[in-house]
Amino acid sequence: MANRTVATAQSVHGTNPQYLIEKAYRQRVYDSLYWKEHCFGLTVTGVMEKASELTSIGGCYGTNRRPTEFFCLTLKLLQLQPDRQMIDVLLDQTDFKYLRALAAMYFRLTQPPKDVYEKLEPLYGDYRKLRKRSSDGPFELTFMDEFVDSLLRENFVCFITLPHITKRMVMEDAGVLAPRISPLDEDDDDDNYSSNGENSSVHSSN
Amino acid sequence: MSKPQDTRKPTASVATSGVKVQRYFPGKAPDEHIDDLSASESEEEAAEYRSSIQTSEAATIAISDLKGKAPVTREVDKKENTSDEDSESDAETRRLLHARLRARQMAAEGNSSSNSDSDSSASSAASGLRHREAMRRPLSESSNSEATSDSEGRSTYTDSDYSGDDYAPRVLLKPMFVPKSQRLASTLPKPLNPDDTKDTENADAGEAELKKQERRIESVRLAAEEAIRARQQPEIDEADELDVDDTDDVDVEAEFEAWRLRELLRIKRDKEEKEEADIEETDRERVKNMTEEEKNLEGIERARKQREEKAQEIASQRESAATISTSEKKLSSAGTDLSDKLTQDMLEYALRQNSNRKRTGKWRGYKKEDTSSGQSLWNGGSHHHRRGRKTS
Repeated sequence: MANRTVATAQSVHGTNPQYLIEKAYRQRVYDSLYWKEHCFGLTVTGVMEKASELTSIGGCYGTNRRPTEFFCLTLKLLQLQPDRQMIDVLLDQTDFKYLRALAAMYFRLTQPPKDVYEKLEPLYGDYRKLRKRSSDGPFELTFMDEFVDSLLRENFVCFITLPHITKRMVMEDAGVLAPRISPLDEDDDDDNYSSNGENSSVHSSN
Repeated sequence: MSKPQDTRKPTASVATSGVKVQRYFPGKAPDEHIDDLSASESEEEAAEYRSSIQTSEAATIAISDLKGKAPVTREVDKKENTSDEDSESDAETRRLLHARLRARQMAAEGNSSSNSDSDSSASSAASGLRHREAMRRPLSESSNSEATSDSEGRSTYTDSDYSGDDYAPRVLLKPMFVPKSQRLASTLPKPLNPDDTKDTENADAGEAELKKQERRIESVRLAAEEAIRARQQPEIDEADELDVDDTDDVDVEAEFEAWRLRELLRIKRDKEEKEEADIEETDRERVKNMTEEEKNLEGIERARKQREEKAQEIASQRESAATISTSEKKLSSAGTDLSDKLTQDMLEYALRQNSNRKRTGKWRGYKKEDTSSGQSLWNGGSHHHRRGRKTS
């Protein structure tokens, strides 16, 4: 019961949303202490609270593939399937960077490619530091924009095989998307890093 | 899907001359072969015999084995008292016969659960026969007539002189199949007499205890190792978080610059990808617009280039292999230690295998794979011959 997807959930990419995470790693989450202790009976609000306490991102680490809290919360979100509005709010907020990262991950996993590009590219301007747990165990330093870049370009991030999205170039050629306007180009025009409608560089501390 | 009726096997109604065909079981001698040429009985009697054969199977088997005569019908004629005719000279054989029979009966009993119906009657008959044997044992020879008058018409033979343990074979017995259930019963150690077996048991128990203890110690050791490992794990978890500092706005300028750099790299990367895609596009267009001839020419050009590249690769590999061996030789020329030479040979062999394996798909035969003969150091080693040559 604790591990089943919420009854009202819709299928994502053709499957149970939880199945976006591989069975092996999913099972590791179900067996982990964090899941049993903290993620039991959690609502989206609860997930928000837990995510605000996060201190790192990452997949599974160590020899026995211990899941990170970030990973557990991702699975929890997939299980709960919050609606689009909620995720948008979580993405736009800048107070909690790890929560933002979590929302970005969830967004990338569940939403169609066009929305993914449109919604996640503003995060390129967020250059805050993120602590990432490598699969061996020790931590690494990464940045929000790098994380988002990996989400948009790579197949396997944080031990999750990301669903396929069409390349940006293809979408541009098809006319679905406009070419990306980097915040830098804007900065050249403007004086300092200012928040624009589409591209906002955020550097408020966590 | 409807299975067609089993038309292959004839049903019982089809005439099969009333013969009930016996199933083959290993260890059970086949029914007596009724040979037309040597049959001494009339057909009638043969038929009678056949009808009763399933009930007197065990007897016939035993008899036929011993007697070794093909037509057994003579012996098993229910009207005749065979024992009277055979008695003295065959007393021994009859004893053996009994022993054999009993074993077979036991076997038949063991098989009774898996037997077909045709055999169950035989086995039940056999068990019945065994009971009667047991009853008959104390009786004297003269009581054969009683046995003879048995309603099922079994063959009779004396068993008065028979003692169960008289197994000394004067006639070499045919080896008999004993099913597993019977086998174990004879070979199991008898635990009924604790006094006799105590000593051996103690020895065994001692050994077993030792082994148990050893295993226990081993498992405890393993568990201890696991616990140590598990305890060590969380140490790795917590400490490192402080290594990586994720506080922002420590140095705004630096951070911004770093971000700017990353962003520029990303832009550059995007641009390069776009350019590559454009080049590919133009190439594709060009190829589309070319004529057939031009395409052929291009293909030839490409093939030639590929061949050249391949040749170059091979040549360079050969060189590298050669250079390795010569350099190694130089190194080891000073002290021609046996182990050094060995390692050198091994290294060469390994390098050769690693390098050339991809290209030499052809199996050159075992001779090429042989690493024993001719390469012994006593034979002067064969690495002299291998230098620079492409080997298999």
